[in-house]
Amino acid sequence: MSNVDLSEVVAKIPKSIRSSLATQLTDILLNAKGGDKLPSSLAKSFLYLWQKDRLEEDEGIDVLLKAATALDAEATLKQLRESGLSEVADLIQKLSKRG
Amino acid sequence: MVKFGVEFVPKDVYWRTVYYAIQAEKGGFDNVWITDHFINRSVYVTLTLILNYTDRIKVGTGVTNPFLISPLATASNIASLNEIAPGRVVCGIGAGDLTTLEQAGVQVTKPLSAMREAVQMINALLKGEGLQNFEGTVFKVKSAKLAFKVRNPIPIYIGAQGAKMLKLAGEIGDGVLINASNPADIKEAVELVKEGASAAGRSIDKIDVAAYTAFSIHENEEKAFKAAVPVVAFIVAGAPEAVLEKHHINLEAAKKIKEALVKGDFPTAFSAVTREMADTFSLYGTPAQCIEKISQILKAGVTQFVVGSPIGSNVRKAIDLVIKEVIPHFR
Repeated sequence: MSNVDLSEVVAKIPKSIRSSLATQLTDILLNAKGGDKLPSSLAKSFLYLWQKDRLEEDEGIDVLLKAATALDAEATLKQLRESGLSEVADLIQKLSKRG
Repeated sequence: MVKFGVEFVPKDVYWRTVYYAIQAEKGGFDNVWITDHFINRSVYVTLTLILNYTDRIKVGTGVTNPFLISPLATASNIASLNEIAPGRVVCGIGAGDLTTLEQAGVQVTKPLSAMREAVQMINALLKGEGLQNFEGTVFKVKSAKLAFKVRNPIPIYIGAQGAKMLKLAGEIGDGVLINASNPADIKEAVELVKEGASAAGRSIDKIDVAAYTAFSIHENEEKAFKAAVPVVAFIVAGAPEAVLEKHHINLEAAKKIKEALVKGDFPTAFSAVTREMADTFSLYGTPAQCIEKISQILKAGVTQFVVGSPIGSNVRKAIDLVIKEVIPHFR
Protein backbone atom coordinates (compact mmCIF):
# COMPACT_ATOMS: atom_id res chain seq x y z
CA MET A 1 0.00 0.00 0.00
CA SER A 2 1.25 3.47 -0.80
CA ASN A 3 1.83 5.62 2.30
CA VAL A 4 0.49 8.77 0.71
CA ASP A 5 -2.72 7.08 -0.43
CA LEU A 6 -3.23 5.37 2.91
CA SER A 7 -2.80 8.65 4.80
CA GLU A 8 -5.62 10.05 2.72
CA VAL A 9 -7.74 7.02 3.60
CA VAL A 10 -7.03 7.39 7.30
CA ALA A 11 -7.90 11.07 7.25
CA LYS A 12 -11.39 10.12 6.10
CA ILE A 13 -12.10 8.08 9.21
CA PRO A 14 -14.21 10.11 11.67
CA LYS A 15 -12.65 10.79 15.08
CA SER A 16 -15.85 9.57 16.78
CA ILE A 17 -15.35 5.95 15.76
CA ARG A 18 -11.57 5.73 16.01
CA SER A 19 -11.47 4.31 19.53
CA SER A 20 -13.73 1.36 18.72
CA LEU A 21 -12.09 0.89 15.32
CA ALA A 22 -8.63 0.77 16.92
CA THR A 23 -9.85 -1.89 19.37
CA GLN A 24 -11.49 -3.93 16.61
CA LEU A 25 -8.39 -3.80 14.41
CA THR A 26 -6.24 -4.69 17.41
CA ASP A 27 -8.40 -7.76 18.03
CA ILE A 28 -7.92 -8.82 14.42
CA LEU A 29 -4.17 -8.46 14.89
CA LEU A 30 -4.09 -10.34 18.17
CA ASN A 31 -6.26 -13.20 17.01
CA ALA A 32 -5.24 -13.73 13.38
CA LYS A 33 -3.34 -16.85 12.44
CA GLY A 34 0.22 -16.46 11.20
CA GLY A 35 1.25 -13.67 13.54
CA ASP A 36 4.87 -14.35 12.57
CA LYS A 37 4.10 -13.03 9.10
CA LEU A 38 3.68 -9.48 10.39
CA PRO A 39 6.63 -7.41 9.16
CA SER A 40 8.95 -6.57 12.05
CA SER A 41 8.78 -2.82 11.35
CA LEU A 42 4.98 -2.88 11.66
CA ALA A 43 5.10 -4.95 14.84
CA LYS A 44 7.52 -2.47 16.43
CA SER A 45 5.47 0.55 15.35
CA PHE A 46 2.31 -1.11 16.67
CA LEU A 47 3.88 -1.70 20.09
CA TYR A 48 5.42 1.76 20.27
CA LEU A 49 2.14 3.50 19.43
CA TRP A 50 0.22 1.26 21.84
CA GLN A 51 2.67 2.08 24.63
CA LYS A 52 2.27 5.80 23.91
CA ASP A 53 -1.56 5.62 23.65
CA ARG A 54 -1.44 6.77 20.05
CA LEU A 55 -3.26 3.96 18.24
CA GLU A 56 -6.31 6.17 17.71
CA GLU A 57 -4.29 8.92 16.07
CA ASP A 58 -3.67 9.08 12.31
CA GLU A 59 -0.35 7.29 12.64
CA GLY A 60 -1.86 4.62 14.87
CA ILE A 61 -4.84 3.90 12.61
CA ASP A 62 -2.46 3.85 9.65
CA VAL A 63 -0.28 1.19 11.29
CA LEU A 64 -3.29 -0.80 12.48
CA LEU A 65 -4.81 -0.84 9.00
CA LYS A 66 -1.54 -1.94 7.41
CA ALA A 67 -0.89 -4.59 10.05
CA ALA A 68 -4.44 -5.96 10.19
CA THR A 69 -4.61 -6.07 6.39
CA ALA A 70 -1.26 -7.88 6.27
CA LEU A 71 -2.47 -10.61 8.65
CA ASP A 72 -6.14 -10.93 7.74
CA ALA A 73 -7.28 -8.73 4.88
CA GLU A 74 -10.70 -10.34 4.70
CA ALA A 75 -11.52 -9.72 8.37
CA THR A 76 -10.16 -6.19 8.16
CA LEU A 77 -12.32 -5.28 5.17
CA LYS A 78 -15.36 -6.90 6.80
CA GLN A 79 -14.77 -4.93 9.99
CA LEU A 80 -14.41 -1.67 8.08
CA ARG A 81 -17.66 -2.29 6.23
CA GLU A 82 -19.48 -3.21 9.47
CA SER A 83 -18.19 0.03 10.97
CA GLY A 84 -19.80 1.96 8.12
CA LEU A 85 -16.47 2.57 6.45
CA SER A 86 -17.21 0.90 3.11
CA GLU A 87 -15.47 3.68 1.24
CA VAL A 88 -12.32 3.14 3.28
CA ALA A 89 -12.59 -0.63 2.77
CA ASP A 90 -12.88 -0.18 -0.99
CA LEU A 91 -9.87 2.10 -1.06
CA ILE A 92 -7.78 -0.31 1.01
CA GLN A 93 -8.80 -3.17 -1.25
CA LYS A 94 -7.78 -1.13 -4.27
CA LEU A 95 -4.47 -0.12 -2.70
CA SER A 96 -3.75 -3.70 -1.66
CA LYS A 97 -4.27 -4.92 -5.22
CA ARG A 98 -1.95 -2.22 -6.45
CA GLY A 99 0.62 -3.44 -3.87
CA MET B 1 -2.25 -3.33 49.38
CA VAL B 2 -2.39 -6.57 47.46
CA LYS B 3 -0.35 -6.73 44.28
CA PHE B 4 -1.59 -8.20 41.04
CA GLY B 5 0.62 -10.13 38.68
CA VAL B 6 -0.04 -11.73 35.33
CA GLU B 7 1.65 -14.72 33.75
CA PHE B 8 2.21 -15.16 30.05
CA VAL B 9 3.39 -18.24 28.22
CA PRO B 10 5.47 -17.00 25.24
CA LYS B 11 4.04 -19.56 22.84
CA ASP B 12 2.81 -16.86 20.48
CA VAL B 13 4.82 -14.28 18.53
CA TYR B 14 6.74 -11.84 20.73
CA TRP B 15 4.72 -8.74 19.85
CA ARG B 16 1.49 -10.25 21.15
CA THR B 17 3.02 -11.08 24.54
CA VAL B 18 4.52 -7.60 24.70
CA TYR B 19 1.15 -6.06 23.76
CA TYR B 20 -0.51 -7.82 26.72
CA ALA B 21 2.31 -6.78 29.04
CA ILE B 22 1.84 -3.13 28.05
CA GLN B 23 -1.90 -3.56 28.62
CA ALA B 24 -1.20 -5.02 32.08
CA GLU B 25 1.05 -2.10 32.99
CA LYS B 26 -1.50 0.47 31.83
CA GLY B 27 -4.20 -1.31 33.87
CA GLY B 28 -2.36 -1.26 37.16
CA PHE B 29 -0.82 -4.74 37.36
CA ASP B 30 2.37 -4.85 39.42
CA ASN B 31 4.21 -7.83 37.97
CA VAL B 32 4.54 -9.70 34.70
CA TRP B 33 5.79 -13.28 34.89
CA ILE B 34 7.02 -15.12 31.81
CA THR B 35 7.31 -18.89 31.77
CA ASP B 36 10.55 -20.55 30.74
CA HIS B 37 10.09 -23.59 28.54
CA PHE B 38 12.45 -24.69 25.80
CA ILE B 39 9.68 -25.31 23.28
CA ASN B 40 8.48 -21.70 23.51
CA ARG B 41 10.06 -18.34 22.73
CA SER B 42 12.99 -17.45 24.96
CA VAL B 43 11.97 -16.05 28.30
CA TYR B 44 14.86 -13.59 28.29
CA VAL B 45 14.19 -12.26 24.80
CA THR B 46 10.55 -11.78 25.79
CA LEU B 47 11.43 -10.06 29.07
CA THR B 48 13.94 -7.79 27.32
CA LEU B 49 11.29 -6.59 24.92
CA ILE B 50 8.74 -6.12 27.68
CA LEU B 51 11.21 -3.97 29.60
CA ASN B 52 11.82 -1.91 26.47
CA TYR B 53 8.13 -1.19 25.98
CA THR B 54 7.13 -0.61 29.62
CA ASP B 55 8.14 1.92 32.27
CA ARG B 56 6.97 0.74 35.67
CA ILE B 57 5.86 -2.88 35.89
CA LYS B 58 8.18 -5.47 37.44
CA VAL B 59 9.11 -8.45 35.32
CA GLY B 60 10.56 -11.84 36.00
CA THR B 61 10.95 -15.45 35.04
CA GLY B 62 7.95 -17.40 36.19
CA VAL B 63 9.72 -19.75 36.54
CA THR B 64 13.08 -20.90 35.27
CA ASN B 65 14.67 -24.04 36.67
CA PRO B 66 18.20 -25.03 37.71
CA PHE B 67 18.25 -28.41 35.96
CA LEU B 68 17.87 -27.20 32.39
CA ILE B 69 19.45 -23.78 32.84
CA SER B 70 22.59 -23.49 34.94
CA PRO B 71 22.12 -21.14 37.91
CA LEU B 72 25.25 -19.35 36.65
CA ALA B 73 23.55 -18.60 33.34
CA THR B 74 20.40 -17.55 35.18
CA ALA B 75 22.38 -15.10 37.31
CA SER B 76 24.00 -13.58 34.22
CA ASN B 77 20.69 -13.34 32.36
CA ILE B 78 18.87 -11.75 35.30
CA ALA B 79 21.70 -9.31 35.96
CA SER B 80 21.74 -8.32 32.28
CA LEU B 81 17.98 -7.71 32.31
CA ASN B 82 18.42 -5.59 35.41
CA GLU B 83 20.76 -3.28 33.50
CA ILE B 84 17.91 -2.48 31.11
CA ALA B 85 15.57 -1.49 33.95
CA PRO B 86 17.27 -1.45 37.35
CA GLY B 87 14.95 -2.40 40.17
CA ARG B 88 12.24 -3.79 37.92
CA VAL B 89 13.60 -7.31 37.55
CA VAL B 90 12.95 -10.31 39.77
CA CYS B 91 14.02 -13.92 39.40
CA GLY B 92 11.48 -16.71 39.70
CA ILE B 93 12.95 -20.20 39.93
CA GLY B 94 11.44 -23.60 40.64
CA ALA B 95 12.45 -27.23 40.48
CA GLY B 96 10.80 -27.60 37.11
CA ASP B 97 8.11 -29.74 35.61
CA LEU B 98 9.16 -33.40 35.83
CA THR B 99 7.43 -34.44 32.60
CA THR B 100 9.12 -31.68 30.63
CA LEU B 101 12.53 -32.35 32.12
CA GLU B 102 12.18 -36.07 31.38
CA GLN B 103 11.33 -35.21 27.77
CA ALA B 104 14.51 -33.18 27.61
CA GLY B 105 16.51 -36.09 28.99
CA VAL B 106 17.39 -34.16 32.12
CA GLN B 107 17.93 -36.17 35.26
CA VAL B 108 16.21 -34.55 38.23
CA THR B 109 17.96 -35.39 41.46
CA LYS B 110 17.52 -33.89 44.90
CA PRO B 111 15.22 -31.01 43.91
CA LEU B 112 15.33 -29.44 47.38
CA SER B 113 19.13 -29.40 47.49
CA ALA B 114 19.24 -28.20 43.90
CA MET B 115 16.97 -25.29 44.67
CA ARG B 116 18.79 -24.34 47.85
CA GLU B 117 22.13 -24.41 46.05
CA ALA B 118 20.81 -22.62 42.98
CA VAL B 119 19.46 -19.74 45.06
CA GLN B 120 22.75 -19.56 46.94
CA MET B 121 24.71 -19.48 43.66
CA ILE B 122 22.49 -16.87 42.01
CA ASN B 123 22.57 -14.66 45.09
CA ALA B 124 26.35 -14.91 45.33
CA LEU B 125 26.77 -13.80 41.74
CA LEU B 126 24.15 -11.05 41.86
CA LYS B 127 25.66 -9.63 45.04
CA GLY B 128 29.10 -9.55 43.44
CA GLU B 129 30.56 -12.05 45.87
CA GLY B 130 31.12 -14.78 43.31
CA LEU B 131 31.78 -18.45 43.99
CA GLN B 132 35.06 -20.17 44.81
CA ASN B 133 35.27 -23.96 45.08
CA PHE B 134 31.54 -24.24 45.66
CA GLU B 135 30.80 -27.85 46.61
CA GLY B 136 27.08 -28.47 46.67
CA THR B 137 25.48 -31.87 46.54
CA VAL B 138 24.03 -31.11 43.10
CA PHE B 139 26.16 -28.23 41.77
CA LYS B 140 29.88 -27.77 41.93
CA VAL B 141 31.63 -24.61 40.78
CA LYS B 142 35.37 -24.01 40.76
CA SER B 143 35.26 -20.28 40.21
CA ALA B 144 32.57 -17.91 38.97
CA LYS B 145 31.98 -14.19 39.23
CA LEU B 146 30.07 -11.75 37.07
CA ALA B 147 32.32 -9.37 35.16
CA PHE B 148 29.89 -6.52 35.78
CA LYS B 149 28.19 -5.00 38.82
CA VAL B 150 24.57 -5.34 39.82
CA ARG B 151 23.70 -2.07 41.47
CA ASN B 152 20.53 -3.03 43.29
CA PRO B 153 19.17 -6.09 45.11
CA ILE B 154 17.26 -8.51 42.90
CA PRO B 155 14.56 -10.52 44.70
CA ILE B 156 14.47 -14.27 44.15
CA TYR B 157 11.07 -15.94 44.16
CA ILE B 158 10.77 -19.69 44.62
CA GLY B 159 8.13 -21.58 42.70
CA ALA B 160 6.72 -24.18 45.06
CA GLN B 161 3.92 -26.71 45.42
CA GLY B 162 5.05 -29.48 47.76
CA ALA B 163 5.33 -29.05 51.52
CA LYS B 164 9.13 -29.21 51.70
CA MET B 165 9.63 -26.76 48.85
CA LEU B 166 7.12 -24.35 50.39
CA LYS B 167 9.03 -24.44 53.68
CA LEU B 168 12.30 -23.91 51.82
CA ALA B 169 10.77 -20.89 50.09
CA GLY B 170 9.90 -19.46 53.50
CA GLU B 171 13.43 -20.12 54.64
CA ILE B 172 15.43 -18.64 51.75
CA GLY B 173 13.12 -16.87 49.27
CA ASP B 174 12.45 -13.16 48.92
CA GLY B 175 9.14 -14.32 47.51
CA VAL B 176 7.25 -17.52 46.86
CA LEU B 177 5.13 -18.40 43.86
CA ILE B 178 2.59 -20.85 45.23
CA ASN B 179 1.52 -23.14 42.43
CA ALA B 180 -2.12 -23.60 43.40
CA SER B 181 -5.50 -22.15 42.55
CA ASN B 182 -8.07 -22.98 45.17
CA PRO B 183 -8.34 -21.21 48.52
CA ALA B 184 -7.92 -24.33 50.70
CA ASP B 185 -4.69 -25.39 49.00
CA ILE B 186 -3.31 -21.87 49.11
CA LYS B 187 -4.15 -21.47 52.79
CA GLU B 188 -2.31 -24.71 53.56
CA ALA B 189 0.64 -23.57 51.44
CA VAL B 190 0.92 -20.19 53.15
CA GLU B 191 1.07 -21.92 56.55
CA LEU B 192 3.98 -24.03 55.29
CA VAL B 193 5.80 -20.94 54.00
CA LYS B 194 5.27 -19.35 57.43
CA GLU B 195 6.69 -22.47 59.11
CA GLY B 196 9.78 -22.31 56.94
CA ALA B 197 10.24 -18.62 57.59
CA SER B 198 9.74 -19.03 61.32
CA ALA B 199 12.24 -21.91 61.52
CA ALA B 200 14.80 -19.67 59.84
CA GLY B 201 14.03 -16.80 62.19
CA ARG B 202 12.50 -14.74 59.40
CA SER B 203 9.31 -12.74 59.38
CA ILE B 204 6.68 -13.71 56.81
CA ASP B 205 6.15 -9.96 56.32
CA LYS B 206 9.47 -9.84 54.46
CA ILE B 207 8.30 -12.41 51.91
CA ASP B 208 6.08 -11.64 48.93
CA VAL B 209 3.61 -14.52 49.05
CA ALA B 210 2.13 -14.95 45.59
CA ALA B 211 -0.74 -17.23 44.61
CA TYR B 212 0.21 -18.34 41.10
CA THR B 213 -3.11 -19.52 39.73
CA ALA B 214 -4.49 -21.09 36.59
CA PHE B 215 -7.02 -18.37 35.91
CA SER B 216 -9.89 -17.86 33.48
CA ILE B 217 -12.38 -15.01 33.44
CA HIS B 218 -15.33 -14.25 31.19
CA GLU B 219 -18.66 -12.50 31.60
CA ASN B 220 -20.22 -15.88 30.83
CA GLU B 221 -19.27 -18.51 33.42
CA GLU B 222 -19.53 -21.42 30.97
CA LYS B 223 -17.07 -19.71 28.63
CA ALA B 224 -14.68 -19.10 31.52
CA PHE B 225 -14.90 -22.80 32.39
CA LYS B 226 -14.32 -23.89 28.80
CA ALA B 227 -11.23 -21.72 28.50
CA ALA B 228 -9.84 -23.27 31.69
CA VAL B 229 -10.42 -26.86 30.56
CA PRO B 230 -7.21 -27.47 28.51
CA VAL B 231 -4.99 -26.15 31.30
CA VAL B 232 -6.88 -28.19 33.90
CA ALA B 233 -6.56 -31.32 31.73
CA PHE B 234 -2.76 -30.98 31.72
CA ILE B 235 -2.65 -30.27 35.46
CA VAL B 236 -4.80 -33.33 36.24
CA ALA B 237 -2.72 -35.51 33.93
CA GLY B 238 0.49 -34.42 35.61
CA ALA B 239 -0.74 -34.55 39.20
CA PRO B 240 0.50 -37.34 41.48
CA GLU B 241 -2.20 -39.81 42.63
CA ALA B 242 -1.86 -38.57 46.19
CA VAL B 243 -2.80 -35.06 45.10
CA LEU B 244 -5.78 -36.33 43.11
CA GLU B 245 -6.99 -38.46 46.02
CA LYS B 246 -6.59 -35.58 48.43
CA HIS B 247 -8.97 -33.56 46.27
CA HIS B 248 -11.37 -36.48 45.71
CA ILE B 249 -10.67 -36.53 41.97
CA ASN B 250 -11.75 -39.75 40.27
CA LEU B 251 -8.51 -41.58 39.46
CA GLU B 252 -10.02 -43.41 36.50
CA ALA B 253 -11.15 -40.14 34.95
CA ALA B 254 -7.71 -38.66 35.52
CA LYS B 255 -6.12 -41.71 33.90
CA LYS B 256 -8.41 -41.34 30.89
CA ILE B 257 -7.35 -37.71 30.49
CA LYS B 258 -3.67 -38.59 30.74
CA GLU B 259 -3.94 -41.40 28.18
CA ALA B 260 -5.84 -39.19 25.76
CA LEU B 261 -3.28 -36.37 26.09
CA VAL B 262 -0.40 -38.77 25.50
CA LYS B 263 -2.12 -39.90 22.28
CA GLY B 264 -2.75 -36.31 21.28
CA ASP B 265 -6.49 -36.93 21.47
CA PHE B 266 -7.36 -33.54 22.92
CA PRO B 267 -11.16 -33.68 22.40
CA THR B 268 -11.40 -36.86 24.51
CA ALA B 269 -9.08 -35.45 27.18
CA PHE B 270 -10.83 -32.12 27.41
CA SER B 271 -14.34 -33.61 27.46
CA ALA B 272 -13.35 -35.66 30.52
CA VAL B 273 -12.53 -32.57 32.56
CA THR B 274 -15.22 -32.04 35.20
CA ARG B 275 -16.28 -28.96 37.12
CA GLU B 276 -14.85 -30.59 40.23
CA MET B 277 -11.43 -30.80 38.56
CA ALA B 278 -11.63 -27.21 37.34
CA ASP B 279 -12.68 -25.98 40.80
CA THR B 280 -9.70 -27.77 42.31
CA PHE B 281 -7.00 -26.81 39.86
CA SER B 282 -8.06 -23.44 38.48
CA LEU B 283 -9.81 -20.24 39.40
CA TYR B 284 -12.47 -19.47 36.81
CA GLY B 285 -15.72 -17.61 36.51
CA THR B 286 -17.43 -14.30 35.97
CA PRO B 287 -15.80 -11.18 37.45
CA ALA B 288 -18.05 -11.43 40.52
CA GLN B 289 -17.19 -15.09 41.01
CA CYS B 290 -13.48 -14.41 40.58
CA ILE B 291 -13.63 -11.56 43.09
CA GLU B 292 -15.25 -13.88 45.64
CA LYS B 293 -12.61 -16.58 45.16
CA ILE B 294 -9.71 -14.09 45.20
CA SER B 295 -11.08 -12.58 48.43
CA GLN B 296 -10.88 -16.01 50.07
CA ILE B 297 -7.33 -16.47 48.81
CA LEU B 298 -6.20 -13.10 50.12
CA LYS B 299 -7.50 -13.98 53.60
CA ALA B 300 -4.88 -16.72 53.71
CA GLY B 301 -2.11 -14.13 53.79
CA VAL B 302 -1.34 -13.84 50.11
CA THR B 303 0.34 -10.56 49.12
CA GLN B 304 0.32 -11.00 45.34
CA PHE B 305 -2.40 -12.59 43.22
CA VAL B 306 -1.11 -13.87 39.89
CA VAL B 307 -3.53 -14.21 37.00
CA GLY B 308 -2.01 -17.20 35.25
CA SER B 309 -2.60 -18.96 31.99
CA PRO B 310 -5.06 -19.30 30.26
CA ILE B 311 -6.48 -15.94 31.59
CA GLY B 312 -9.46 -16.24 29.23
CA SER B 313 -10.63 -17.29 25.79
CA ASN B 314 -9.74 -13.82 24.48
CA VAL B 315 -6.67 -12.69 26.39
CA ARG B 316 -7.05 -8.96 25.69
CA LYS B 317 -10.68 -8.93 26.82
CA ALA B 318 -9.93 -11.09 29.85
CA ILE B 319 -7.12 -8.78 31.00
CA ASP B 320 -9.47 -5.86 30.42
CA LEU B 321 -12.08 -7.48 32.69
CA VAL B 322 -9.49 -7.98 35.43
CA ILE B 323 -8.37 -4.35 35.07
CA LYS B 324 -11.86 -2.85 35.03
CA GLU B 325 -13.74 -5.12 37.43
CA VAL B 326 -11.41 -7.17 39.59
CA ILE B 327 -8.43 -5.01 40.54
CA PRO B 328 -10.54 -1.94 41.52
CA HIS B 329 -12.46 -4.11 43.97
CA PHE B 330 -9.28 -4.68 45.98
CA ARG B 331 -7.83 -1.15 45.83
